[in-house]
Amino acid sequence: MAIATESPPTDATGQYAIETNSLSVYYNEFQAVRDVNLSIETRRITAIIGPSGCGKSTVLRAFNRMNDLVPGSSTQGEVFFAGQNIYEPDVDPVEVRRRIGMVFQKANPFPKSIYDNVAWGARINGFRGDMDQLVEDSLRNAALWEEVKDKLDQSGLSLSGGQQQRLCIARAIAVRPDIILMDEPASALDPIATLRIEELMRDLAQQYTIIIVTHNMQQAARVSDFTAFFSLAEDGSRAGMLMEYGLTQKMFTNPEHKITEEYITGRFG
Amino acid sequence: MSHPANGFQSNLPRRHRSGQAWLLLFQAATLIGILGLTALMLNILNSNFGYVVYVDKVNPQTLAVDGVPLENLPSDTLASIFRENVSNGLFTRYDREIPLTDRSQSSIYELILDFVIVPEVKQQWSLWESLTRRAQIQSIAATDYPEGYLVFESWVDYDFIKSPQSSFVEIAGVRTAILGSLWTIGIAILFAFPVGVGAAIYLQEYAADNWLNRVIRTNINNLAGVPSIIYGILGLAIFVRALEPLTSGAIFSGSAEATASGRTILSAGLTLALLVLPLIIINAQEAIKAVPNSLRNASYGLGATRWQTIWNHVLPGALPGILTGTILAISRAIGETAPLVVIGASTFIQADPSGPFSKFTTLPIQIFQWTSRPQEVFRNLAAAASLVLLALLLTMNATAILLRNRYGNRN
Repeated sequence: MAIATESPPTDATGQYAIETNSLSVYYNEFQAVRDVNLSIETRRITAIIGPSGCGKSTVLRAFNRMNDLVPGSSTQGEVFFAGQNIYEPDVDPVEVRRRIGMVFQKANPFPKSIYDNVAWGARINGFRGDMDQLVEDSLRNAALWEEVKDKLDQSGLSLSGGQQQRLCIARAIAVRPDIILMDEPASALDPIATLRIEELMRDLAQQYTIIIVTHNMQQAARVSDFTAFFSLAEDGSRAGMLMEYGLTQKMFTNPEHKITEEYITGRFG
Repeated sequence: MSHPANGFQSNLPRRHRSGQAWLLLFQAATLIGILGLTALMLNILNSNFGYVVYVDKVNPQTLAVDGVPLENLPSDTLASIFRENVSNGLFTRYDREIPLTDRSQSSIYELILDFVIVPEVKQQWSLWESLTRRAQIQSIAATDYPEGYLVFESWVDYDFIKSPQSSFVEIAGVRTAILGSLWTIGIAILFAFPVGVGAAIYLQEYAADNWLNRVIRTNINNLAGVPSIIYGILGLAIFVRALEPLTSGAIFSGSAEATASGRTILSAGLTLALLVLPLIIINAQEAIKAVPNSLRNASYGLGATRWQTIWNHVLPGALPGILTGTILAISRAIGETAPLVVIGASTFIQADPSGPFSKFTTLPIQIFQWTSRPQEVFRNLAAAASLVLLALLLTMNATAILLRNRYGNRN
């Protein structure tokens, strides 16, 4: 496997959950993300923030090859996961997506029962253990068990918005991923439901690496350990670039770049 | 009201008036549609019921034995009456079919009615005439046909549905045509549904959005508009002629005994399948397109393959729409006449279709054949067959809608 010499060396002990090396994503001719070099810490919450259209979601979706499903998209550079560049031709994106799960902006439970919503992913991935136990564990981990344990056969769509989003998280962790990507998971929720999701993320971070895209600066400050700030390239090409990356605490109190400070303090974006 | 601001004119009454005018136009359009449908139904009903003057070849009273009327006689007496009054050949034919001794009293009575008494329609009136000129009709019947009798007839009845085609209007029925229609539609759907849905899945979920696939999609849309007679010509060339060994069943039976040549139910079904295929593809494509992408993302995000995503999420979500398309396809196919005439449907056939390699006729063809007869009385049969066709269509659509609702509400 060819690794560009200027990239940070892959940590053989798995200190980093994901490392990118000159990651660029194109939609047809348009370069949406340019030359991202990012190392995501294991079992930490990393927030990706930045103004609209700066490629935050595109970067997130590049981590589990969801961009492959977008017609006309292409990816350059490398994304290392478990010591393997997931864009190597012999890597199956289906397997990547099982190990790197995803929670979307809008809660999207299947039009199936709550039980089947959680069990389906495990079932298709060949889970042969105690399914009832797995469903219960996943719902408990998603802090939803107490609310739904008596109505597991009801449709997942009958739940409230916040419950649906936690169901989607339960569904994601039921396939036992290493990493959970969250694309603005609380943007459609009210403040209380948002708080519950944030608490849940803190709990999950003990077991999983979590990467969250958010528009909400307070949310990034509250939940994340590390923050990556993206912004548009200053040459007018509208390509998204990684501007600053580091400990959340440091970035929100003492950012290195002026543009980061301007964004965080709400002067643009 | 005063002007709300400078530069605005008070035009609210005018805006309301123009809205009213449009509403009137839309109501008129709806009314025209309702009138058209009502006229259609009235027209069919008008020919379906009405007074009929029958004259019997043999007066049933002359067949009565010891003052007991014919319909009350026991089976064996009726059997001997039947034997005495019909030709040997006819008797042997029916006796061989089911021995007369095994037949019920009412079935022997029906045989006598059909072959001995033979009531013949002398004149018939429409429902409208029967209701408005009742006295006049009764006097015409009494003076012109003194030995005849006047009956208020419903042309469509159980006998009409269960009897095979006949050149006698009194005993002609549509059983052959109903069975022919069911067989051809069944084969058409059996073929067109999986092929159409499969093509839609490929075009919508697998095919890249490139030049070639756009041309294919456009052409499928165009195919849906091709006149049906052209499909008939296609079916004649391919299924009847080129694939004759297959469609006549010769390669299955191993002999050349196939009497229908290629003009079989199979050919008709496949031709109708081609005809409705674009309809099914287009509707299935639309239904698949309407399945929200968030569902696909959720599935892929869990590590599902493309096929697992399609089978578990896309198809169940699209099924109601796919079934709606199939309903439309059935409705279209069941009324098609022209392509079946071209591929050589039989216009007069008495034997029930026994399988895909039988000769056949269908309800629309039967209707077409009856309306083109010179005798006016066959119009009534055509109207009755129209009613049967409509009922068959509604039944099939209702079944499809029930299926759709069942699968649509499953989640």
